[in-house]
Amino acid sequence: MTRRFFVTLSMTLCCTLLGVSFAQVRVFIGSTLRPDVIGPILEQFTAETGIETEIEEGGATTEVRDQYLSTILTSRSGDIDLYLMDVVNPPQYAAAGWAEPLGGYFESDAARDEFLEPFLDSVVAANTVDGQLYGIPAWTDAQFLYYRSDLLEKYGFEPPTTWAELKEQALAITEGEGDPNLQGFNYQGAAIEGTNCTFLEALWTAGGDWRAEDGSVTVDSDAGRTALAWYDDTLASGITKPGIAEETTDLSRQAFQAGDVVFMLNWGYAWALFQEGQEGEDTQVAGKVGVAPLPAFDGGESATCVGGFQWAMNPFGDSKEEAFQVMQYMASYDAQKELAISASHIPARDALYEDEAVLAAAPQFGQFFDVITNARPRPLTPFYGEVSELIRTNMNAFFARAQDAETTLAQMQSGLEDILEQ
Amino acid sequence: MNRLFRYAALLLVVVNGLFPAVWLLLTSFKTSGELRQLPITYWPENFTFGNYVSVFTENPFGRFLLNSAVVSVVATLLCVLFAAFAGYALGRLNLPGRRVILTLIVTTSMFPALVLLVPLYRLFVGVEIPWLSEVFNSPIFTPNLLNTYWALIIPYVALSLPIATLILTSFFQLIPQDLESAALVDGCTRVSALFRIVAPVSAPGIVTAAIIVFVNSWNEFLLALTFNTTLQMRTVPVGITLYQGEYAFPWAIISSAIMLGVLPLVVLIIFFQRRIISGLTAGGVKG
Amino acid sequence: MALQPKPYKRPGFWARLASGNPSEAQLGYLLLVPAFTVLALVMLYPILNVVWKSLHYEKLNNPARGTPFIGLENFHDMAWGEGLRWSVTHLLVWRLLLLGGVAALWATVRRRARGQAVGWTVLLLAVWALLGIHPGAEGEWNDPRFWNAFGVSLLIIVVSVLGSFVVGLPLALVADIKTRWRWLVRVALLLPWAMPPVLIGLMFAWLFQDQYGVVNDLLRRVGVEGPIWLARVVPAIVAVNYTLIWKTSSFVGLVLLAGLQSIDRGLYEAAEVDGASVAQRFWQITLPLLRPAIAVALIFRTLTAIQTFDVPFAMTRGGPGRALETLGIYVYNTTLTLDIGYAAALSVALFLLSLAITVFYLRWIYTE
Repeated sequence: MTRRFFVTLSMTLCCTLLGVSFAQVRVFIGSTLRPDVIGPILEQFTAETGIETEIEEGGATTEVRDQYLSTILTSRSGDIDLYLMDVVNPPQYAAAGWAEPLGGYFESDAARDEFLEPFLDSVVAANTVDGQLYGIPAWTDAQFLYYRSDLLEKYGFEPPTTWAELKEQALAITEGEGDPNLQGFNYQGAAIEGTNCTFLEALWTAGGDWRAEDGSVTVDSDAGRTALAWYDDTLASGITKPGIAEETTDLSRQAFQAGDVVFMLNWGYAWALFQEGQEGEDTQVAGKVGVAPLPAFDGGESATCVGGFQWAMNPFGDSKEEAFQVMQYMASYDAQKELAISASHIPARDALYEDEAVLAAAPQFGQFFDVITNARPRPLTPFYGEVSELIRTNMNAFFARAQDAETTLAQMQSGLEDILEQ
Repeated sequence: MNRLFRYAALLLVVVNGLFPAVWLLLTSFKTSGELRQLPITYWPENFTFGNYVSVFTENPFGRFLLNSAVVSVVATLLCVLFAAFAGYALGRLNLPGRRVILTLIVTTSMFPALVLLVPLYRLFVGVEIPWLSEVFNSPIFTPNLLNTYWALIIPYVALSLPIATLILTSFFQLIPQDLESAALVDGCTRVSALFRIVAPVSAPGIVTAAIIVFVNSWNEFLLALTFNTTLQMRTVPVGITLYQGEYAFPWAIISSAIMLGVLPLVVLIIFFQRRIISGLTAGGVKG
Repeated sequence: MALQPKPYKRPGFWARLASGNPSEAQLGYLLLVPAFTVLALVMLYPILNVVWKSLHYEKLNNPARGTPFIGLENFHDMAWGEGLRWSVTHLLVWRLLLLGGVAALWATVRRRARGQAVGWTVLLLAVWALLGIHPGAEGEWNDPRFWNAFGVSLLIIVVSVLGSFVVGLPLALVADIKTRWRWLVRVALLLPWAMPPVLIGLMFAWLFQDQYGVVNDLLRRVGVEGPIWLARVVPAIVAVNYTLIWKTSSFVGLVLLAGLQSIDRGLYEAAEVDGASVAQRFWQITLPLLRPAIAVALIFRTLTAIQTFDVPFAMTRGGPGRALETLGIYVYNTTLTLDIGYAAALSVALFLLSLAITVFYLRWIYTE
């Protein structure tokens, strides 16, 4: 029994062994990152160059995707050649040796700079680690302030430019409408990546940053206190619902789409859903949504988190030259235009925001541009995983009212110092 | 009074067990819009089968079901067979050091699957076998198992072996020694005693073990996600997550997919339990 | 020359095997071969790999330090604190609960099985004592997150394992009743456990959601304003444990049901003739005969409870804050931060904890 089992086993195996791995460049794309749009672009590439490509889908959520990628890359497997990397990952992946440095694939540094010139500065900055380039921008994203344009108009408000204004308007509108389900201000407070942005955006717009020029951690600072005092205030004044600590990105989006929110912080994907809904899901806010740059505190400047994805090369792959050609192709004007039009991915190239075909298909990009230019990368450190875990966990405890602002800041301060010290 | 109490208990069990499932079932007939209505609705306002259609049109869900079925059935058969052997040895034979052996087997289930993932992946991609390479003077690798059924069957057998062995060991222990001794006196060999006497009597244990192995294999997520990456080789639990969006979680479609994934399991289990148990009582086994 | 009788020669190992009538031990070891082959094939290399890594510093995103061999330093970092104190008041509530458990245990098993009662009591008292250890005024745990996760896991083990038995045993008893509706009861028994665990957490997160959730909606209908379950510490702990019990009591029920089915009906009939009440029959026939099944369920419930990951992760990601960060979630978070060495060490710690419990249980099963 056992012997026959193993004979069959090894025969099956040999067959599959021969069956796979004829494709030249294997590209890993999360199933939610629109492989249906990227696929045809790759086919176009194959038609032009004769280089075979194959898409590998998998991992619906960021966690699952990261989990899969880290298994493959920790195993130093050459099973994939290219993958899409989240914007927060370049420093970590560079340090771990999981992303191939790309400088050497350009003819010269000048050629590299010329290639990168048309891309948004924030995106290029996020891909550069110690002067070396590790990823090529695929598309970008940012957190926007979404607002109900109909309600703001009804009460005669302009989109707020300071957080205090936002609170005032939210209070006026929720009181005026008298709908108990209507929330004034919604953001992400669950222990998810987006909650880091919730914190950083308030910190930045208060004129602070997580780290000073000299490298010392500056979370437990006046700016930090201003930021958390503001979030305390959103809960105390009732413009934010008490259960904000369980709010994830998509719960926020759904609440807004159901017409239950006046102001919301969220990523770019929400826009298209607000206008058209999706299969089986109606939208109550079509044509009633505006986006604005995030408000700031008095004396601060608007700022937001940069998001989006980058093409990165697996250093353990065995068709690197071909893979680099794919990357260049995917970053080209036409490919990014196609991604913007068909997948609503926010372009990483400045010029696409003025392209008529793009604006016709996605008019919101015109409004997005002002916000995108304010976008800043989240902490650029090889230890981002720990930094992120620390901030989101503490913020989540803060939003759950399990620890106060002072403790939260002190814990983040000392935790960050420990992380950077190693 | 006794009767009333009995039915109350039945009702409580049914409600507790079924409520979330019924909620999912009702959800699967709702439109996504209805899920975000306040106040929430229980009975679907616009009854729709659209979600079930979407399950099959968006992804090859039939193929997912087939894959899960193949993997789980084979893994269950192998696992229960091996576990029955081991359980018989540990539960009925006078084996020196059997507690140590049992502990050793159970031990393997104590590491989180997460940390075993990377080494297992390396193993399944194909590692060089040094001594064989030396013998043949060229590098010899273990076969690449990724994207085959074996990549899941083999680890599933291993992952469920500890519990199956433990269950069967304890059930074999329960069978009165006289029963087997009588068979031995009648001229049965140990092996035929195992198949003719012990196996039928311990049917509830075997069925239980089989159900547990089957459900474990059917629902396993992490390994299935990592080892079988082509769409054609996905299993149901991983397949279900493919209906998710980057941020969005379309409960209406997903609950339909869950229902479709659970249905074969439930049918199978009911069928199995009925057949085996009725067969057992009909046989009139008395200790 | 007298004919010498041929001396009896004990047949060799293979000869006996081939004859189809091997000795008991031979047969035993032979029957163990397939199981060991599979386990060795799949688990041996990964497990050795994890143990080996746990003795190294290996942090993929800190290549400057390389991957030196550091012996037991990971474990030292994890567990050893400076300036530890022991106090009566630390985690007083849990300790009182445990103490209550000890008392209840003594009361119930005093008459029978005194040896076991002693064993259990010693274990519970040891846990009780451990709960009193905490960092002193100036000292800190070297890794407070480990001890937090340890405590969270311990709580989940105690609550969810006990809970799944309190619910699972009646479930099994009810499912064993002969009625026309038995199939429905069986489905209800099996369904919670047959659903994919990854999605159970998500589903309950949704049921417990404060606005769109069913739980609070039902409470509202009877005029109670429910808590914000997943966004407050204590309600979140309640919700997660409820979910775990809901999911796992069906596993317990299943194993116990199989145990019940293998009990000879004749025993009950005899007892009924002797005039034993239902309760007497339960305590004197069912429970003792169910013991092996109980032990099996208990071992596996405990082992899986130690590794709890899916449900708290899906429901609150181990939050609020770190209120539900179990050891399983901690291992996961550590691997995601690419700290391979420490994650391996945590897994080994988890393994040792499980091993201690298993050895204890198996000793208990094999005492009679």
